[in-house]
Amino acid sequence: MRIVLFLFVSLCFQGLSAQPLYRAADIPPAYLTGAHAVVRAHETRFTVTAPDEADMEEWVVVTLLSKEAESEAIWTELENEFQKVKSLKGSLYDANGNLVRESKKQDVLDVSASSENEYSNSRVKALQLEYGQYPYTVEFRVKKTLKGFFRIPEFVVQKLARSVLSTSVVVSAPSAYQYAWKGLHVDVQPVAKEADGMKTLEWKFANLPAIPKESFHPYFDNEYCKITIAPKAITIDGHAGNFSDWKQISAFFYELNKDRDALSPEMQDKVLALIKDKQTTREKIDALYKYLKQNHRYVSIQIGIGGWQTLDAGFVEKKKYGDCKALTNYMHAMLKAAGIESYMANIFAGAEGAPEWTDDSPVPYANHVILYVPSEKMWLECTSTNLPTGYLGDFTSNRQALVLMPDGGSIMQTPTLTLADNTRSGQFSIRLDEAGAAEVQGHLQYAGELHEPYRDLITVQKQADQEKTFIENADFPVAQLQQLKIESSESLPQAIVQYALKANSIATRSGKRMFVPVSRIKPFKRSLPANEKRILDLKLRETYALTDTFNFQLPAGYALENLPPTKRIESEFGLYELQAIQQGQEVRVVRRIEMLPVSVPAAWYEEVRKFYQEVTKADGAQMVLIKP
Amino acid sequence: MNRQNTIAALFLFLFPSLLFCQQRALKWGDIPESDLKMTVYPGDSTASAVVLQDVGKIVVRANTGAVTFYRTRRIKVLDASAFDQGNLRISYYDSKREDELRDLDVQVTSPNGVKTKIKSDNVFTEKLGPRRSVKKIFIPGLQKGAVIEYRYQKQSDDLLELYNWYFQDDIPVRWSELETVIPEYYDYVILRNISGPFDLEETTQGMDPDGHNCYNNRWGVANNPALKEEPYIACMEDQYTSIKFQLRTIIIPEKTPKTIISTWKELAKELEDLEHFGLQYKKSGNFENLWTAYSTTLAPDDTPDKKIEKARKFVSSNIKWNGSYRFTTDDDLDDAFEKKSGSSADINLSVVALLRKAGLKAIPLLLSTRSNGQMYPQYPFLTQFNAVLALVQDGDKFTIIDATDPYQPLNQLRMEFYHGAGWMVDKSTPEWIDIGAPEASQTWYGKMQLQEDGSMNGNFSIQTTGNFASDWRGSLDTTKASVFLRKQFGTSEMEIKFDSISFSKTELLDQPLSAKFNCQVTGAASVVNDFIYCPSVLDFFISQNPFKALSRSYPVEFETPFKAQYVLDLSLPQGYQLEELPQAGRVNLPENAGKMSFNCSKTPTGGVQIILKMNIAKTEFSPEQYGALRQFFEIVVEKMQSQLVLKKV
Repeated sequence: MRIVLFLFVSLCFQGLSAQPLYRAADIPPAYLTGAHAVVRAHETRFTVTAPDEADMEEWVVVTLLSKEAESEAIWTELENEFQKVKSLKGSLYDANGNLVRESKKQDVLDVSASSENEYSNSRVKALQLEYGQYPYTVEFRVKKTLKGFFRIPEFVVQKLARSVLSTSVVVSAPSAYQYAWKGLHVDVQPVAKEADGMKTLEWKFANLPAIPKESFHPYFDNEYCKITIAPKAITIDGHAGNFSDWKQISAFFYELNKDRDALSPEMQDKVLALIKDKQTTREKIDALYKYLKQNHRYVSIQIGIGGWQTLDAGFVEKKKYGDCKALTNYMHAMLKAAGIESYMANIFAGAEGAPEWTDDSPVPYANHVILYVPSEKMWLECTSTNLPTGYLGDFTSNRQALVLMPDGGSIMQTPTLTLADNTRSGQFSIRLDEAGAAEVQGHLQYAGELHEPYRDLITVQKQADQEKTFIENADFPVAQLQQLKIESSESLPQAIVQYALKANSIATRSGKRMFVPVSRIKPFKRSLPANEKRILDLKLRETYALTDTFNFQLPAGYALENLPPTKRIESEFGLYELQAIQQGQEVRVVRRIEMLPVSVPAAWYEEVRKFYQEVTKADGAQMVLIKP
Repeated sequence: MNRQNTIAALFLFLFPSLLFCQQRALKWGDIPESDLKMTVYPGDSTASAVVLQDVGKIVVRANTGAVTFYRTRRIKVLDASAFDQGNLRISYYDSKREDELRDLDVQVTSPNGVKTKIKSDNVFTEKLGPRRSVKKIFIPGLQKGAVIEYRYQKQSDDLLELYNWYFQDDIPVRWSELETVIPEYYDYVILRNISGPFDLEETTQGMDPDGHNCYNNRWGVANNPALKEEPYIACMEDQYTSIKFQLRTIIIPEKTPKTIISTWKELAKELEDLEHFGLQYKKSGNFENLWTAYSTTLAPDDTPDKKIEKARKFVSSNIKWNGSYRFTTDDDLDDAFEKKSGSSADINLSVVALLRKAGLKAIPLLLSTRSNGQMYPQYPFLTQFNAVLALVQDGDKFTIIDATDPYQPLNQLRMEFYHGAGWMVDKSTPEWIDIGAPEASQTWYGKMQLQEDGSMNGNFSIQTTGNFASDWRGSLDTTKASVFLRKQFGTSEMEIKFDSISFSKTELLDQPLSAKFNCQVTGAASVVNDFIYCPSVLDFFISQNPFKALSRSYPVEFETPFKAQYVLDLSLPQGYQLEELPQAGRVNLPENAGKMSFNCSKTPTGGVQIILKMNIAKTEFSPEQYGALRQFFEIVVEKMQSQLVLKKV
């Protein structure tokens, strides 16, 4: 009774005083440094109500300090069979904490979640509270129910460039419901409670100053501090599964997708016909993969459990399209008909990398499916229409994949493309005339990641358009393109670009001199923004080796005044070599560049930056010609 | 002549009518062998798909006023890279009472002539908005060489605009035609967007099934090329060959004729009485709170100009533009004020309302934004517009206000609004006025010392005006000054350190914005043996030619005219003497459309002065003028890259 009274009094007090709650000026200065927004409060309550059902409530108050934080003013939720938004409400406060507006029901937008080549019945519900004058504060209250889930949402405590004044995460579940949890940069232990058959864990965080958002950091999706929760057992759409480790998770997804690989007798015959003259397993795979990519297209139709379970092979056989699961399953079915064993694998795709999967909190955070062929140790990207057999581009290479097998598979690493894989070697002949224009012939051989843009280009564009694209992307102004030939290898990740052209202003003139930047035809530039107070580790994924030879024919009547001196810059981040040799009216410039992946602590940042700066500067070297 | 050619010649000889067959559309499913066997589209060998024919028909019924639109389209898929042509999207209105879309029918013919009807399990319906949906059709079993046909009907009672017809697409269109059957009672303005004559244009008179006299029109275009997006183009839609309709009058016998498109005066009158337009600024109950808040900023002795400036500032800082261009409000002005966000209508009609109540002659100015497409000052109809500005008339002095962008001063607008003209919604003077984009300028003045090691230090001041200034003001609000300044020095990799940065006149929007700063540039010049080679212009404003393509099929449309000037006083390091100066240069674009001059000279104090000036005086250049424009920029960039040579004494 006393408590109730006290509450009543304090509520009255708050009500009567009418002090605005969220004045921007009330934020202590220590939480403004490096922050684009300040999380004033964020409470999340996740309650498991049945093995496959849960309620989730969130209340969040964020003060936006600048335009970079604009996304905080928009709240989006996905709605489909597995997730329903019960309510989504918001309020907007100005800098002085005065209420500007409260959302109304009709303010919640309802839009489709699918793109051109997709159909799904998922909708996106969005509430936008953007305001013109910074700082301002938004408050959101969200209630939703989840039905059938195999991962409890991640709880992001702190993103980069956000300071956090107060955040709590409460996970309640029946005592029998088991799960593991894992924290990234979480140094607090949850408070555990148990009452009425419900076990509750509560994490509380307060007064976390912002970690600035810096370029090329290792944090996926800018998430600096978070909690992931892995249920030990799940039920989704009537399918129960043991999720206590990766082996079990693999077995669950295998079960969900098995026995969907039956082909019609005609198709089985077709498979046998396709591999008839093929001797090795590799040749057989090659023939079937080629058939897949030349006759099928990516179309995603996802309804209900279809998000997790593949469509039958028969569907793809008939329709000649499917999403990643369906196309992968279909490739698997064809390989099976050819007597080759293969398994689907879950993966998180994207050129930006993937979140890390760990053993102590196994959560299958994946968005894509590829195929693994154990006998050849080969991976197949089945949504591609143009990749060579067994090659994964930067979309899926160098990351973990969960291979789905009957008794449980394991996490495997997809191939990493190394310096030796990603290469370019260029031969250029440059015949300069007296006006500084030149006739240029180039022959470039690309491999690995570097070849992908050219393979894609010739897949989507025909000759005339390729020429246009080439001219628009050239490093120098093209005056006339006489010849262009771009080819990619059918079986290897390689492409060759050959051209002959005329270009103006390859050299510039001043009186009797002519200046010729030696790498004008193919300059190299790389830089990192200046940052003397770097805080985050530096992570750069790219690695490649470039070897180029530029053969210059000097114009008649000109002599060399200066030739760039031989240059060699070597560090643990890479190598740069440049050498120029004169032979009569010819100058031959040989350049070798190696760039290694970088993963170093913040203290090394300046050193890496200096290296790139030095390399870029060295590459700007020019020769100077003079008319004696 | 090889065998194939002989057969082709024979073929043409025997069937001369085939030469003209494109002028008449073929029936559903009637696909000539030559189209089935086609592997390359002769009209464009780069095409991976082509619309073989696209046939539309609009029928207006006199009795009911119902409009029916029939469309039949046929696409040839030449290449696997065009398989996405097998994902069809047809959007339509689906108000509760009835579906607009009917009789959807899709069929695919394989190269060997096998026809497959696409069943409904391949058709999915998705809600786009409260009244709009889309049918997504994924054609199964698609193969190279297939011909896709689809047809549908749309029903509506929108007599005002009928349906737009586009004779062009982002893939080539071999034959496109539109037929209309319209009773003589309905008189339409036909808005054609085509550069030359139609390949087919005919009018006949006939009778519809109900016995009313009708006009039957047909327009056709053969061999239209694919349209592809290019930079510096204001509105792609204006580039498409198209026909649109606007109902002008209805004259039904024994009834009073009804004029739909009458005069600008009539239109102004209608708008002034419209709930979500005129009544918003005429009825003060609709903007009571807005007025109360604004009026507290007013002083009794405020001049009209002051009131205008205060209204611009008040509205632009109190209602954030939500990104949408509209000319009618969603709710009342006070609702937008309460929400603190609104469309161009909510915002600029608020300005009109406040200034009217403050005793000024404030008038809404309607226009079509650049990306919304062309306006038709000869035809007074409303749907050509999509946005509104505020205008204050004081005798023959006009002040235009755009409060959607808080960084624009009076008489200066968001780039999207520079579309040539606008129309004043005022029944007493319903006139069109020109809206010319003011010139934007940048003036750089630097005083720098070149050092022996090739670095440079000194100071710069930069002044910007017009839309350059408003862009800068906007960026400076969100970007650190040094980061922002670094960007102004182009994309080169020079290391620049800034200090003592100061900006002036950031608050006074109608004044130029100036920046002053000291800077230190490492590696500005290269030092080799006894020589220093120093670029005459540190990257600024333009660092490479924006026009790389060798030719262009559309006009180039700049947003505003602009001017840039760069002056650098460079002092040289001790112990070096000037060996060579870059040559002066000058280029003029025809018809005074642009000028560039470059000059490098010794100063009496032993330094060097470099002056680069350029301007582009007009905003539109035709494809024929493209070559000259491209060359103009090439010379500008070349001059910027020219170098001074210094030699050790």
